[in-house]
Amino acid sequence: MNKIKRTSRIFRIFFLTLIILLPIFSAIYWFFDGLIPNMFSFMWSQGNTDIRLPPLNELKPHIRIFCFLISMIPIGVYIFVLRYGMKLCKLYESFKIFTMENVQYYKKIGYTLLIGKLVLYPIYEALITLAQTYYNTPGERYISISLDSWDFTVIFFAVMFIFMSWVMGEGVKLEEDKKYTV
Amino acid sequence: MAIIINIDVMLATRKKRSKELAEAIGITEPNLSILKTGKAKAIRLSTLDAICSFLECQPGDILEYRS
Repeated sequence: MNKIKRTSRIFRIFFLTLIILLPIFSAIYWFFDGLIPNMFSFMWSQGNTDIRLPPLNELKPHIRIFCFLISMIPIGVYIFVLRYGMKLCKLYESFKIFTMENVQYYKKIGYTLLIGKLVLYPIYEALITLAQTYYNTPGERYISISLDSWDFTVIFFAVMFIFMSWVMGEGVKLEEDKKYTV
Repeated sequence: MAIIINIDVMLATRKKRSKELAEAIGITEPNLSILKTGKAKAIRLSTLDAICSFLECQPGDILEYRS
């Protein structure tokens, strides 16, 4: 039991660290280009790379601020997911492993990822490409919406989370029925 | 739920204690408490049989439907 408590606490602290670091990394990415390796910027990348986007160092300061604010859309989604992850870890720390509360958090993670990818991410991509190409010559301004393999991976995991939460919910109901049968 | 469990009433009528009933029918006191407080979702026929046998009553004396 102590192992569960200790591991959950480590993960909770890790998730909290990510919640704090993600907006900071994004700010560094947009304001001090080149300082953050690409591996950290996959969540708020510049958008569709098939269109000609100006290099980061050519963006005007107010466009960088806009881009940073727009990047808070996908980061916000991940912050919500991490927050639910923290709440799950908190439940595990108090040895609540198989309860309806856990099921609700799994479901929330699934729906947040799904809505984030299907609704919010296209809005983000449209806005981020528009912001970056706003000062391009007429005919070179873009609004882009795309789907790549990473998007399908996230959608797949979101659906898996929703499915798992449903199965777990049914399991909890069966367990409660068994518990309250005298 | 509209089903009321009247074990307390029957125990008082028969002048028996919850502990005695729990021991006689082979369930734990917390489980008997679940039954008495109406938290139970189901009752086994074997449990009902043992309760009726111990309290010398009919199932209808223990279970009551109120709309």
